[in-house]
Order: sequence, then C-alpha cells, then structure tokens
Amino acid sequence: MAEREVIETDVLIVGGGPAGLAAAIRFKDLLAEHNKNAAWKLEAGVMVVEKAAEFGAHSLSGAVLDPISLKELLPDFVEKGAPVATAVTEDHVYLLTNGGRLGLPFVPPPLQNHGNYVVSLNQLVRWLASQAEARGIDAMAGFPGAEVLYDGDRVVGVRTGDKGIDKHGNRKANFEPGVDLRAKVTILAEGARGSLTKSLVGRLRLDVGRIPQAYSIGLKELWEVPKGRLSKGAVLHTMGFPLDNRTFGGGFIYGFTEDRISIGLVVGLDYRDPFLDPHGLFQRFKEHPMVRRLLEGGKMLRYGARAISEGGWYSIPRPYADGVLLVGEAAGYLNAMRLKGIHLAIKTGILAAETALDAIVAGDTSAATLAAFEDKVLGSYVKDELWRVRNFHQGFKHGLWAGLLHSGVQMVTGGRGLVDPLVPSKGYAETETLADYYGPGQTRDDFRRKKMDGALTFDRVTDVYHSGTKHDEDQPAHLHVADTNVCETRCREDYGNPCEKFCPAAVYEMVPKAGDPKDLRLQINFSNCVHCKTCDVMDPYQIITWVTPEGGGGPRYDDL
Amino acid sequence: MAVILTFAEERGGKVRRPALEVVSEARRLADALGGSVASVVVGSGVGALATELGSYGADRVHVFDDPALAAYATEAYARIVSQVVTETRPAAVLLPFTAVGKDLAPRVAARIGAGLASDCVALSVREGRLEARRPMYAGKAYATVRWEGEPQMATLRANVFPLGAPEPGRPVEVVAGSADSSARARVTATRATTAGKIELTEAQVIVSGGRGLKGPEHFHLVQELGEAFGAAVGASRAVVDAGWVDHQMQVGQTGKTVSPTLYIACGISGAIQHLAGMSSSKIIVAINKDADAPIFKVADYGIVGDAFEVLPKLTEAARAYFAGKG
Repeated sequence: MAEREVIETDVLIVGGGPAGLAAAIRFKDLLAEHNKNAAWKLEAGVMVVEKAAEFGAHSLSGAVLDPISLKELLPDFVEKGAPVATAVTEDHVYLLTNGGRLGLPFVPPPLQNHGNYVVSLNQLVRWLASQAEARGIDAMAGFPGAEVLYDGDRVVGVRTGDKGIDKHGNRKANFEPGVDLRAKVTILAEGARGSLTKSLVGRLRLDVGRIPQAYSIGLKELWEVPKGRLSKGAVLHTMGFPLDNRTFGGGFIYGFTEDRISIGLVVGLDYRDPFLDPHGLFQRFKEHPMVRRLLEGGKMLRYGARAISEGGWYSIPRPYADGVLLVGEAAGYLNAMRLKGIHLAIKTGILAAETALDAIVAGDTSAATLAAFEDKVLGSYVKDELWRVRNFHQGFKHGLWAGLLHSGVQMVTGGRGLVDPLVPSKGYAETETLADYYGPGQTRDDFRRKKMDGALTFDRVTDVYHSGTKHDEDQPAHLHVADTNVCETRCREDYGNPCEKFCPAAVYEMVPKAGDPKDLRLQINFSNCVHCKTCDVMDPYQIITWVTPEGGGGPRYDDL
Repeated sequence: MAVILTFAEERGGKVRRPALEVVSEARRLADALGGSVASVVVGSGVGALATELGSYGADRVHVFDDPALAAYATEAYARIVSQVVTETRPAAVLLPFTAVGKDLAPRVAARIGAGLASDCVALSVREGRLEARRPMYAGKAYATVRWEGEPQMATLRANVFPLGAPEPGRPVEVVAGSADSSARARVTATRATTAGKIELTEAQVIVSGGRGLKGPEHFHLVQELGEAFGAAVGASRAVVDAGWVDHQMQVGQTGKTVSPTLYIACGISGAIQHLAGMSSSKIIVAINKDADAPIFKVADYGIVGDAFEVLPKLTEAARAYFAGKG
C-alpha cells in the first residue's frame, strides 16, 4: 500500500468556480487586512483544488451576471481586466409557439437586467483564478476532490483522486496515490450536485427538515454568426416551444459579442415523459423560426451542459458542520426566477471566507463557530433575494400556467404566494413509467431520436466533440451503477432506460449482448462525460453515483 | 549560405522513412533558399547511412557512431543534436514527428532556445524564411506559423511530405562527430509489442473496423482485408472500448492520427471524433449499411452495404488483383 502524502493547509476549497475562487480571494484579502493591525501576524495557507485541467474548463453558464458581489470582492474589477465587456442593452421575454412567438409587453422586474453583464463564466473563472494566483493561493488544477476525510463527524480535509489506475483497477506505470489534504476549514464549492457535498450532507444529515433539492439541466452552445444578427448585449428569454405546458424550463439567447451568440435551453429535471431527451429539445428549440433566423449560416463553436440547483431556499441544507462550510450552487444558493447564481456563489464565498478567518483566528473551527456563516447569509441579500423566490420552482408543479400564476402572486407577496411552502417537486420520481405516460404496450423500441442536420442541429456525439471533452480512456468508469441488472430488466421494462435519453453526452447506451442480441446490457461511454451530473439526479432507481474521474479529464468550455 | 539541418532517425540499421521524407523536404526548401542540406545521424554502426541520406538530398552528414549510442536515449541524443546546431548554425532544423522526434525536438529546442512548430503538414519559403502549416484542435483548423529568431525548428508529420526520387551516388560529405555520449538514464532493454505489424501512423494503407462489425468474432474480416492490401489494421474507439482489439489500434481524437494514402473504414459511422484521426487520408473508402452515416460525407468512395457481405468480396478482389500483378 503506497504511503499517501499528507499536505496541511489552513483553508481547503474544493471547486475552482466562482464560489470557491471568491472564497480564496476574499480570505487572503481579509488576512492581509487582519495582519495590518494585528500584533501577531497570522500566516494562513489557502488551497483550491479543481478537477479540470485548467481553471474555467468545467465552468459554463448562460450567463447574465449581476455584478453586485463581484464589486464587493474586487471593487476595481473593471480596471483589473475582468471579462465584462458586454453590458446588457435590452431585455425581451417571449412565449414561443410551434411557429410563432408572443412578446411579453413588459419584462417582469426579476428578469430585468439593466446594470448587468452578459458574460462567459469560463472567462470569468479564468480571470478570477489569475486574481487568486496573484495572491499566492495554491490553485491546483487537475486535482479532483475524491473523498472527504473525517475524524468522527468532523471534517478534517479531502483526499484527492488516485492517478494512473487502468480500466481493470490495476495500477499503471504512472500510478500516483491521491494526496490527503488536511485543513482547519474545508469549503465545498463543487457546484450543483457536488459529489462530495452529496455524500457529506447524507452522512451528517444536514438536510433534515429541508425539502429535497430540485434540479434542471442547462444545455448551451456558443455560435458565431454574421455581425448584426443580434445586438451585443441583447438578452432574450423564452417559454413554451419546444417544452410542453407540463415541463419546466425555457430558452435563453444572449448577444455575447457582435458576432457571437450564447444560446441554450433549461429543462426541469422533474419531467414526466420517460422518453424526454433534453439535448433533442435543445436542438428543436433552434429550429423555431425566430431562433433559426438568428443562427442560420453561422457556426457552432462550443457545447456544454450542466445541472442547475433549482430547489430554492427551503432545499438548502445546513451549510456548516465541524470543519466544513458549503457555498454556491453546491449548497443550492441560486435564484431560479432571476436565472442567476453566479452573484450568490461569489457572495457566499465571501461570507465563508469571513467566517473561516474568524474561526481560524479564534482557534475554533467547530460547527458552533462556523454557524456564523449561516447567520451572515441570513443577514445578507442572499437571504433577501432567495426568500422572495422560495416557492418559485415548486409553483410549476402543475404546469406553466399554474407556475406563472403562482409566480405572479409570489412576486407581490414577498414570496409567500398562494401557499407557503408549496409542495416540493419530486424530481426523478416525477418520471412516469412507459405504461402510465404512453399507455400499455409502449416499449423502449418506440423511442425515436430526432434527426439532426449537422448545420443547425447536431447529434450528441458531435456536440460532445465541440465540448472539448477528453478523458484518459484507460481508467475505471467514473459513473458507478450499483446494479446493472436493474438496467437490463426492470428499467428497460418500466421506463425504457431513460439514461439513454437524459444524458446530454451519449454516455449511456443499451447495446445488444454478445450471446443473445435480444438481451441488452448497459454500456458506459464514460469518456464522453461532460460532468453535468444529470444522471446522478435523474435515474429513476437512484443507483447511479457520479464520482470524480482522473484529474484533468472532462470538457474544455472555452468561452462558454 | 543557409543550411537546413535534419535529424535522420535510424532504426534497425536503416533510416526510417519519415526521416527520409524530412530530408526530401529539406532539399526542396534548401533549393528554394539557395542553401544546403545537412543531416545528423546518431547510433551504432550508422556510418553507412550517410550514402542513403546523400541520395535523398543531404550535402553533408554528421555521423555520431558509438556503441554507447546504439539505443535512442533522450539526454545523449539531445546533447549531440544541440551540439551540431551550435557548431553549424543552421537556418532551420527539421525532425520527423515520430515517437523519437516528439521526444527529441522539444528538448533540443529548449536547449538552444529555438521556437518549435510541431506536427507540420506543409512548409514553404517566404521572403527568405520558412512558413509552416500545422493542424490545431484535432484538425478542425490549420494555422500558418512563422518563426522569430534562429534556428527555425519544426517536426514534420509522417506520410505527408513526398519522398523525392533518390539519386544514388550523389556526392555527400561525411563528417565524423564526437561527443559526450554519457547519459544519466540508460536503455536496458527494448520490447516491441507489435512485432511485425505495420506501424499505423506510417502505413500507406489502413483498413479500420468499427462497431458495425457487431462482435469481436467478425473482426477477422477487417484483418483479412488488411492482409490482402498489405495494410495496417486500425479500429474505432467503440471496438477498443468493447475490448475487441488493443488501444494501440485506435484511430481518432483520443487514439492515433493517421494520414495514409488509402483509408478503408468498415462499419464505422464516422463520428467527428474518429474523423479527427483520419480525415487527412488521401483517399477514403467507406463501407456501411447506413446510407446516412456521416462517414460518407468525407469518403471519396462509399459502399452502402452490409460489411459481412462486402468485406469478403473486397478481400477476394484485392487478392486477385495483387496476385495478378505478380
């Protein structure tokens, strides 16, 4: 058994996205402030581990950024070169029908974006990473946080993933055991459905008294189009086509630069149709005349997908325990109505840094002291904002119109709406069986995948290519399916193997078995995985667990 | 007078074909520049190779012949090539983009502080300096690059540059070089895993099999077609993942990039990831049951049909053809 190296630090942050990097930057700045006036200069190391090969490579979002928290973190962010070149110039909301559209005569206040920026989260994270490195933060890309380290129920750090294990589980020539990173405070900033966060919350039962988290999947493409197709800074949101009235979600189209459009579709991961194919719906979205006109003749540059935390305030677990804090979307800090989470990720990162420094100075990083994080959140605009939209997603349980009605009432009642709290979404459990949704006699063979034209619409494998995703293929699959027998028998019968449909990267495939081609077995093309976590959320039997693959693998979301 | 220096990779007592392609290209560029071509060959018992290098266009060959240099070893070879560069001050240094070239070129470049353009597929002369064309993003785009400073270093993709017609008996000056052949790492043994098989990245003809063959028990159809053509055999990621063949045979974005004269794709759908590894093949033939398979968009010749029917017929026809040629 190889000896694992142990590295000690003061603050360990897992996840180099906006929340994690904001926490790192803020901690160092507060430390410098503290040391200016302190009698004893405190030295404290900050380490950020990130599974991607480069910071930002796994970060993508629409995105429209509310700069409120970025201004707090780095007041001179514009002068320092933050990638915020595109101010929002116009806001539109449309209800799309099969061939037409209805423009909303007014944009609801939460969707008004004056003062905000159209950004690429990938670019923003890259810039934040450079700010972090300038402050002497150990920013370690290519290191996945594989396992939380405990001493009883206290979190003492994180173990990084082993490197160099072949697909049969044996060590290759380049084997290196993961490192045990031990820290006084560990901050989990993994983003939606973080793998460490999921197991930690479960083990320490931080979700007692909360409703289950709800999720959506966001799919996005970056397009290059002739200048003038869409004004730089134009922000378009759509409802309706291609989603039916019972499926949560909507489209977004942003004029990112003069010749680049960010376009995507969000689909709630509590749909009923077991054959629903989010990627297919996204491709259909582009065929709507309004959308086609914008993209025609253009070139698709990049593709990506990611799960989004939609549950809102009531689904956020207790965000602290002995030695650990949860920030950003990993905890669920996202405003589903405004479609914005980046500013809350940054703000909770800032508050976590403040809490961590106080705890380290006091020499006490127990839950009792770290609880101050929750107090800070409660006293900040994070609570104010999220409280007002606490029932947003849940309002859509009975369809689009009910959802809009609930949302309207919520807006004028500070979030209380008609019922508070509304019945939570059942997420994966909303998926109906083939028999219930389609009628008896429906089988998986009745599934028809939309044909793509390769110019406006693309099949998943082509889109995966444009996500820059690569993994070392000689490693164990990082998608752990507890019992593939279920896939071959019950799931095939009852649901028709929805994993083949909801994965936006064609990872899961039921293929004929060698012996009898009528028998199917699950094939996991893990190297296509774009780390979106949808499978972990959506499989009807909850037997899929996403774990970190070997560090450095995954997408390259340049400019997404 | 401008000198273009090439590295003549040797294996088994012969100069490897990609290295000869480099000499041919160096000769073409030197003629355009009004310069000369020099080569450096390193190994044991390699003195005789100078003549062959001369026949492909080298004017002068630096020979480093030493039993201690028999097996390729990074440190010693890098030191020697750097030494030759420092002594002869060439305008450009070209190496083949082979496993050895990929290992040696960056180290030489770092030692001498030269810029290195790797995996070039075309070179030209503009205003007395070189320009190179190289693929980026797995062949989705091509960049034209120029160098700043001297020397201009590049590695050249195999099977892309034409081999010039050799001129036997062409005069060549041989310079015996001596250098420190010590190294901190020593090759103790070399084990070839694909003994006898044609190296995929250098093969002129490749026959590849994909998922359309349904099972490992049918892959022999591809291998037999390969044998009939005297071709190397490749595979798509799907069949490597399924364990039918070894990863060494994988062609594609995460496998090998090949550019043979003829690429025959059997039962391969042609996803971009596969195309990224073979789209620069000169002639592509595709056999697939699905008329809409993306491979037909890049194929020069396509057969829409069942591989199980087509392959045996094609193999028979190929055997007859090559037998008839004697």
